[in-house]
Amino acid sequence: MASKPGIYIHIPFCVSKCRYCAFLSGPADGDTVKEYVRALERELCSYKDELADRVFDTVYFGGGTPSLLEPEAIKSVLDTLRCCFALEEDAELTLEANPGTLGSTDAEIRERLAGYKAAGINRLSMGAQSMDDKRLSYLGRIHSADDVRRDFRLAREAGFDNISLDLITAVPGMSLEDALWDVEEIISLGPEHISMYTLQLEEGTALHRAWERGEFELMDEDADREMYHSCSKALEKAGYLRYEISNFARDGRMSRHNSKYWDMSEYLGAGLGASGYVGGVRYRNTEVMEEYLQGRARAEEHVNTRDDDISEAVFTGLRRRDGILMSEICKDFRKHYDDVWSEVLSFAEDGFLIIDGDRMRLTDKGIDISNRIMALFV
Amino acid sequence: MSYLDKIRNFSIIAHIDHGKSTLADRLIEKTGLVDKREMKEQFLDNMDIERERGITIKLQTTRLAYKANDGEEYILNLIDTPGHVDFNYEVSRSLAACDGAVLVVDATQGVEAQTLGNVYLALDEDLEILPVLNKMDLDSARPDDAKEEIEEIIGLDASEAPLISAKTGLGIDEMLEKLVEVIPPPQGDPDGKLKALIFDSYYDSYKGVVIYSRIFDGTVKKGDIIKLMNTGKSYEVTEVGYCIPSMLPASELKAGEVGYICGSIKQVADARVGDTITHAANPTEHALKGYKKAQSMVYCGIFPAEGEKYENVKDALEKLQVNDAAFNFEPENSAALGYGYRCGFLGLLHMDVITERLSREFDLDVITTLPSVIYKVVKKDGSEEMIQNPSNLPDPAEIAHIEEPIVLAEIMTPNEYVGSIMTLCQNRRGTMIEMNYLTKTRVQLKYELPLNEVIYDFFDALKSRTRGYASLDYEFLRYQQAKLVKMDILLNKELIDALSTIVPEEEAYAKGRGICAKLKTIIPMHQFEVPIQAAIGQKVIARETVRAYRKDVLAKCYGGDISRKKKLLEKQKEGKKRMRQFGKVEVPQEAFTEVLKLDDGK
Repeated sequence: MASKPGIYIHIPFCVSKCRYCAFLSGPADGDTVKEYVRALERELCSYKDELADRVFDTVYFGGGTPSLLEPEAIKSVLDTLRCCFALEEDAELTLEANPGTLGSTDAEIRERLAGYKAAGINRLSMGAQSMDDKRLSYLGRIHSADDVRRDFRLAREAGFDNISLDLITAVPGMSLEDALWDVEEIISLGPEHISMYTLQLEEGTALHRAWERGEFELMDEDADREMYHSCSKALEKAGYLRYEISNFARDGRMSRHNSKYWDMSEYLGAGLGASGYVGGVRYRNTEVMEEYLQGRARAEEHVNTRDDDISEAVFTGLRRRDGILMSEICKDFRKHYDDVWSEVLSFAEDGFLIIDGDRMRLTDKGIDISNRIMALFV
Repeated sequence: MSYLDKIRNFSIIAHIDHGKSTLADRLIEKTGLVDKREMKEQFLDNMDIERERGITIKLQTTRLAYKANDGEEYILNLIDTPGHVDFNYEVSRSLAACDGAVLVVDATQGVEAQTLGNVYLALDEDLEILPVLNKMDLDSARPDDAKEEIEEIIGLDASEAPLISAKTGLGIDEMLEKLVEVIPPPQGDPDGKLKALIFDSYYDSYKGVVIYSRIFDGTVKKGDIIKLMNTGKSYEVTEVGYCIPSMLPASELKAGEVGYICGSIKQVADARVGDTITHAANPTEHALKGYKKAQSMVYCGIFPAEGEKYENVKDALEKLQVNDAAFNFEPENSAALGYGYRCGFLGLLHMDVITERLSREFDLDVITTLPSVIYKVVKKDGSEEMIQNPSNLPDPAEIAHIEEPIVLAEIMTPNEYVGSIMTLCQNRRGTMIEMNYLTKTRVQLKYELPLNEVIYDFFDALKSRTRGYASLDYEFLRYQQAKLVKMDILLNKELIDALSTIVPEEEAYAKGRGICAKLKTIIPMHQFEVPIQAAIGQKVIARETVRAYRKDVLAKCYGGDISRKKKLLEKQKEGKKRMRQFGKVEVPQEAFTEVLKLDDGK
């Protein structure tokens, strides 16, 4: 069932674009960043009255590269938030921090991390992506594996006790051994949380263009899946529970914020191109910087119908290890999905889906083809 | 001088692409009944499909007025004819309403197979033929050679054939003069008993059935009670008039004239093409000879696609049939595709045109199954059965033998392609009957070919092997015993009746492999392996496997962008809707028609 609402803040700036990345981001020049932060605060304030009765328990700075914002800027945004909204005292405040963007010397990095800490950030999500320098440069990352180790160590020293590391598998040319080595290296750092993504070739990215030019071949699907499952197993063996298709946590340190996307909780989305779900409305902000800076934030919105809510609850919920409780989503779940129920059952018979009383969840095999199953419910 | 002397009823006949429709346009433009601004390219081809493909399918008729050099104004009734070999039947219908024909020969190409075929049809009707040489504006025109061919191959005097260019208008006046001179005026007695031929009809939602008719004797006018001799039904005439080509009401139609008649007739089936119209009170004793009923050569099933209503398909087919005497259909039930219709066509082009009209004019989503010719099954008890649908083939144990339709194909070609055409015909189980050198460089080949081998893609194969220079004409010859077997297709071990075909036994293996390979490219991956098998009886002769998909998962939702993910899933679901479910296997609808596009390049 839905939990307390959260806030997502998009910071669309990067030092340079990674070759696989289709997220909304661009170069950061000083003035634009300043103006952007002002526009962001203006947008947040505009929700003050509408959301006066909500109590938020997460804030997530995503990007782009939020760690390109000075600690003062982060503090300023958080202050604005606290001033406009009710924020729980023990709220989870996450900052995505890319290795290599915190500073070039230990001292610089220490100072910056301390600044974020002082601003109230209590969780870091670091984009390690790989622990192999060749692969990092192939992906277009600006850091080395040693940078990851150093930044991680300094973050610990700065007192961050809740850190997530991102990892990408199925990079062209990657062997199963390569992937497992990455996983072991990441595990050896001992983060609380690991997000492991399979590389997805997105249109408009440099990697996609390279593929179109025939520079490499897509990884064989069987190999891709074997890599995912083997790495998952290695993570679980090390104590990281796969609580969602791509997310692993030890000692119950799940991402409180990301979980909101999978249980129909409300989340306010602010910033360029951000999307949100508040008061039964799904909306998306403009992706045009000019418009956003001029205060025209919201680009499209859709008032969810009951059917929308039901289907979204199913396909987001099925991403979770525990799946969904059908009666919680819809009293006559079966009747609601009468037209596809025989197909649902056939997926269950073939071992892709487990229906256990009121609970429905994907098996490992089901995860591999989850889109097919989820499409039944939209 | 009788009014009859100033009427000329004629058709234009030609090999496809020799410029028949362009000439018709030019005549309409010259003789002024239509404003030039109103002219669309190829005026008489008024279906979109006709204009796009540059072919004439439905015959059309129009009245022209021409002031000749003798100072008299002549009424010219032009009855346009279709140009594709599939539509020979319509050509002969048009010709029966005429007294003469203009034979258009492309001066750059000379005499082609259909030139000959059409001339024979015209001679069958005792028509006077005026040869003209078209495309004289092209540098490659060689009128003397073409004339020689007309004289040598057809045996018509072409020495005075007008040299024209339908495109530029060159020589059109001379041609019209010649036309008035050569083509005889109609005969007939306007005061005699009414005798009129229905050569076409179509359904108009305001006027009911509109009949196109040539009056041979008598006069018909509004208020008359007419009787259609074949059906015996009577109707009151509500309107008569001329086609210019739009409808222009007139007070009456007299012997020798061509025009339209409306009589609140509700069903086109009641105004059968070829029927004779007479007066109910004072009928003629003898009906006109009429035509043979159009013979369907090719059959296929047409089924409503997923989500399409059976009734809508039925309505559309009925409407199409109203305007197309050669098209027929009857209900059919397929285990795989449900309720639908078995439809008969003149040929594959005709089938293409009908299915395309279903989607364009009626906005219908239909599945068409593999076309099939009609087989004659002779059973062991001596009885015979005509089978249009392979899945209706009786139990092999009851069958003595199967006969298939054979056509006589006439192919005309420049001599350098004879070798490759012979190979093609041989591959299609053809038997050579004759080879004639018509001139030093033009060869006529006569082959007996199973119709089944001709309908799919023979014409395309012929064109591609001869860089477009060879031409084809064919006619039904007889049924002939052949070693044929029914080949079934199984998907995931389930027989899909709509994919069954009848094939020559010796080619079953190759065809089975071809179809399986083709289906493999069409059937999407499922979460399980899908075996595709071709089988004769219980024996599997070919097999392919569509492997199971292994991966369809999104890594994550960007910044909680649920809407985007939802759109992706919706799109996926939408794609599924266009599939047909067979057991657990989803088959795209095009599978049923794509399978036959095997060409092989054999």
